[in-house]
Amino acid sequence: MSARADAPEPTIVRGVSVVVGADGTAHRVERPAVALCACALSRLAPWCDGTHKALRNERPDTVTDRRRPDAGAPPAPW
Amino acid sequence: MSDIVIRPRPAPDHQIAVPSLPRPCGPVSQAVVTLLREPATATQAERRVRAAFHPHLDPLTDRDFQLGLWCLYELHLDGFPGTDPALEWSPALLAARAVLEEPFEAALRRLVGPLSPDDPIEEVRRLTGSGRPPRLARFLGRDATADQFRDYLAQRAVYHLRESDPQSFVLPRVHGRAKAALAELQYDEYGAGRPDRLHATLYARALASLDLPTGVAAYVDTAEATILTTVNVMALFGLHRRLRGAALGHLAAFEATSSIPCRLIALGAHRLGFPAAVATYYEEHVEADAVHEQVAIHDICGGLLESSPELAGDVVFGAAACLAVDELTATALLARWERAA
Repeated sequence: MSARADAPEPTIVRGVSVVVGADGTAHRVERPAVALCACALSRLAPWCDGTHKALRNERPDTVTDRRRPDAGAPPAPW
Repeated sequence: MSDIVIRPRPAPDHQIAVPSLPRPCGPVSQAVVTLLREPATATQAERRVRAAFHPHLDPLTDRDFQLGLWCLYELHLDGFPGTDPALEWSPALLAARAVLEEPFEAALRRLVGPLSPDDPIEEVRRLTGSGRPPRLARFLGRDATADQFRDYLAQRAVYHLRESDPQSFVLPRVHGRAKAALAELQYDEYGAGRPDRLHATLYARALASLDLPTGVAAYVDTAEATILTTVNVMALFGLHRRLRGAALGHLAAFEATSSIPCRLIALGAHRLGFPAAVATYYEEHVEADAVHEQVAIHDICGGLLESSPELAGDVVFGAAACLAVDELTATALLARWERAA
C-alpha cells in the first residue's frame, strides 16, 4: 500500500504537562495544545512536523511504505 | 536575550513636530500621506483618493495602491510618530480607506475565481493539502545566497514583526468553540505567557542577529508591493466583522501551509551559517504550525461554521485568497532576486 492514502493526521492533545514517547522519553509540553505525530515519520517526534502531508503528495507509484521495519530511515520527503 | 529592544512609539506629549511617514511612491500613497499631514473633510478625502486611483491598475501588485492602504491600516495598529492618534477614527481617513478597500476586495475575489463552498472544511483541507514545498521555500532552503536570504527576512519583516496581530481583531467577533480555539492559537503565537517567546520577538531577534533593524518602519519603504498586499489582506479581513469568515479561512490556510516551508527555510539558514536565532524562528514554526493547522481548520473554522454556516463561502474565499496572494509574493520575490543577479 502506498503511503499516500494512509499517512494519518496528528492527534491534538490539551491539558497535559508531559508526553512520554514510544522509547520512554518524557517530553515537557510547553504549548496550550500539542500535535502528536501519528504517521511515525516526524523528525520532531513525538510532535507532528507536517511530514504526513509531504508523503501524501508523492506519486503513489514511486512511494513505498516507509513504516515497514525493513524500509530503513525515511529519506527527506522534499 | 535581553539586548533586543523593540522601541516603543513616543508618547503623545513627546511627539516630534514632523510626522515620520512612509515615502509615497505614486498618486495614491501621496494622497494618503497628504491626508495624514493635513486635515480634510471626508468628501475631500474621498474625491482625492478616487482621483489618484486608476481603475486599470491591478491593486494587488501596484505598490502605490498597497502602500496607501497600508498607511491607512497602520492607523489601527501602532500609528505614526508625530501624527494625531485620533486620525484612526477620522471620517476623512476612513473614507479614503473605503475608496481603496472596494477595488482591493474585488481584485481578491477575481484572483481566486469561483469557489466551491459546499463542504468548506474539506475544501480548505483540499486547498492546503499538498505537501509539496512551494518554490520560494525550496529556493531559500537550497539555493538562496546569503544576501537573498537576508533580503527575504527584511521583506517579510513588515508582517512577522506584527505576527498574528490582525487575527486578534477577530476574537470578539466570534463565539463559543471558535473563540476558545482562536484564543488558544493566539496565546501560543504570543509566547504562551512568555514574552521572550512572542513570535514577533523571535523574528526581531533573528533580524537583530544579522544587524538588521527590529522596527516595522525601517522596512516599509523597501517592501515589495505584494509583501504589503499580504499584510493588507489580513488587515482587510481582520478589521471588517462581515469578513470574519474570510479572516479565519485565511488563518487556516496560512497555518496549514507553514510547517513544511519553515523546515526548508530553517535548513537554508543552517546551510548559510546564519546565527542560530534565524533558524530558531523557523524551527519554532515547524512545530507550532503543525498544531495550529489542526486547530485552525477543525476548531476555529469548524466552530465558526457550526454556529454560522452562512459564512462557508467566506471561509473558503479567505483560504483561497491567502494561497493566491502567497503565490503572487513568491513570483515577485523570485523575480526581484533574478533581476538583481
